[in-house]
Amino acid sequence: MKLQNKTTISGHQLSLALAGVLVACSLGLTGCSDPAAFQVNEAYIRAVEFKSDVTKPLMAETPETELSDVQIKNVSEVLEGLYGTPDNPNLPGGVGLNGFLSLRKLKVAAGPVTYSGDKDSLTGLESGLYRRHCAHCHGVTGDGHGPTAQFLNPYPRDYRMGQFKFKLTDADGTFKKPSKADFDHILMEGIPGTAMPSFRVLSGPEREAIIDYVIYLAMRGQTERALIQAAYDTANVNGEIDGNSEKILVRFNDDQYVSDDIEAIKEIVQPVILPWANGGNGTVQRTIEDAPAGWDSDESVEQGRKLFFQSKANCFSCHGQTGLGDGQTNLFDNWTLEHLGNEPGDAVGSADDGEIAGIPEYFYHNELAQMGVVKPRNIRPRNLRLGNYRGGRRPIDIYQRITGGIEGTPMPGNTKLTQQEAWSLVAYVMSLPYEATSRPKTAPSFQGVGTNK
Amino acid sequence: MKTTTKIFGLLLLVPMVCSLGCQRGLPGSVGDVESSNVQEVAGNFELQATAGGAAEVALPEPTGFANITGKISVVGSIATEKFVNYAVNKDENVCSNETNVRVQLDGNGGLQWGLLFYDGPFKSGDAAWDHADYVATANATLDGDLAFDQKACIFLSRIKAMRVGQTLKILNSDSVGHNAKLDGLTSANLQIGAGADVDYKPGFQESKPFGVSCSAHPWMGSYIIVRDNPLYTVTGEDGSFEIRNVPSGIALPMKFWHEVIPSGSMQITINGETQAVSRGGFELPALEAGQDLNLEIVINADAFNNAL
Repeated sequence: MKLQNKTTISGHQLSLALAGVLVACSLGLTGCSDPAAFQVNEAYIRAVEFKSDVTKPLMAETPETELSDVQIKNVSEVLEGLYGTPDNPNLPGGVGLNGFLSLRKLKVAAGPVTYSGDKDSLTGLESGLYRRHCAHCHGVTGDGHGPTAQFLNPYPRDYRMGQFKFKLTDADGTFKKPSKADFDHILMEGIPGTAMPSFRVLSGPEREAIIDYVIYLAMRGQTERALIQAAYDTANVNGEIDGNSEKILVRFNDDQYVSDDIEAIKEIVQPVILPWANGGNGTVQRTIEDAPAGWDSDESVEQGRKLFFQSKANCFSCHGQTGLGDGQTNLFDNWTLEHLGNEPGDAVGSADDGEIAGIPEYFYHNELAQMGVVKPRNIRPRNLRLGNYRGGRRPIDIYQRITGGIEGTPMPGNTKLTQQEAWSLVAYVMSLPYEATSRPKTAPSFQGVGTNK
Repeated sequence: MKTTTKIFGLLLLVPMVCSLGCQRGLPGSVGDVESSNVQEVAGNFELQATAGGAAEVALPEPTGFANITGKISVVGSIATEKFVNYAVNKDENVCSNETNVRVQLDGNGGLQWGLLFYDGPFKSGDAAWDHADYVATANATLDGDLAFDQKACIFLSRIKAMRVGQTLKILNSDSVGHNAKLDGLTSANLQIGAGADVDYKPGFQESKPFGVSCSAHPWMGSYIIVRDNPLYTVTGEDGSFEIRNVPSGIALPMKFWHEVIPSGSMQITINGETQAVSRGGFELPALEAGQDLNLEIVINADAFNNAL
């Protein structure tokens, strides 16, 4: 009876308590779900502190100067003033954007995923396109470190360096920012051989909003890097700076200096914006003339084969004698180089290939792992026998990779090939998957092979 | 323990875990910025702002031109073997490792490949600032002796300085193919066949040199700096340098750079006076028009020995 009594009471209490718990949980969860925040690029701060040249693996054992919390917060305040937050993006005026990006589109792409049901709105979504389709790989900050990033190979792109691989703007021997049309091509086609899918299911206006937002994240990331470098330079000044005991970038609390300091920020932001906005019109894809007749003939393929092994094109040096991508395999892309260091003391393990001949020891620093830097991998030259081309499989895509190069990677552009020569290389590269890979071609017997004359 | 207590205990734990889970902040999140500071920046960069750029800073008017000559030398001994780039493992019949040394001194301690440049504002094309000799070469192509060459898989210049507006010829004097990967604001990666050359025309000034590498031969390394003014010099084999036609009558913020000690703070002695410099920066007092300043810069070997 006692037990029964107790059970009855407990059952009642249990339901009440369960309801209470549910309410508490939901209140708790709702109450403490802070708005999404951009992550500070701590890994870049570390790179600047430890490395005199962030593109090289040489790393000091201890940094000469470390940015203080006050100095980093100062950078974050400037950055948020310029670009807003993930839920409420902003764009800086007076630095050359000239309408290149649309704040309205940014607000559709940004923020949490909400549906308005308003047929007249741009997409039917009030906001959240980026978080719905992109952030799980590329991260809310565009740092390439969304929740799924570490499981992917290759890793998702970190936009914050402002460097992109596959575009038709690179010409005249220098890399340019991608145009919006380049981004749209990637969204439509995806990147074969990677986890980047096609987003053809999205409408044109939706893709446009996402493209503006990705460029916005890239500009923001580049600006952050420039501000961090400037903050470090300020912090590293020997001795006192007049009126700046904390050695911060912008002296907000000092009327005497604040406007000058903010004015100086413009000079940091402008060089980031100008190559993108290009007066408001953005960059322009180059015009590639149609391939000459017979570009894919047997003769052309044979000419391309010879060029492949000659120093003028030098393809074999990285892609290997057989085009299997087994030539120069011990390099890293720009995104990875920044986080490599060669002080063995901090090592927790080497990259996936272990020791690599000819390269100083490099290590994956434990500290960087905690900052969300993914484990370094070598960049592999493409295996040209697979017929899988990340930048696209149209002949024009291969032509552009050969003549324009691939930014951020060891793949150079070749400005010295004639059009006819470049097309013959395209023909040869595109013929490779159809050769019998089980019996790779031996080097052809023309003069110069192997000695690279 | 009574069953009810256990149940209630468990039930209490759930919300506790819930709320604890929520309090875990994301590492590196921007966090508690002061909104008034954020607003101050936002207000200064309103999207409707029409100004194209930063307000022009009033600069003092130079009184004429002066010349600076001098020498950069190192006192004490440097373990230069520490600064040899790593071994050649490819194209050994062409590539040499013998002179691939990042610190090069002559017998008297003269430091080669030291970069010295003016780090202040400049008015390009303004006759008071930009001497006619410099204006004449503002859009020149740096060819011949001024080109950027590579031989035996070694970049023959360890640091090359040039101006925005100029075009740099990058040569390949080897019998193997090279490429020049230029990681500057105007980035490029250019394939150069044996005996061929390519052009590099940067569009932006750099505040410090950027790296040049060859993807085919990863041990190769060098630097280039691009400036919007002509006031720079790279030291010769004996450490000597010359910067002609420097504006006089204005203080001259200068920077010294060497690839092994690019950003360190160090003690250097300038004309017998020792001073601490930070990131290579120091200031020369205003020169008189027509003056020939002799500048002796002495760096203690410790700065190199403590570097990587």
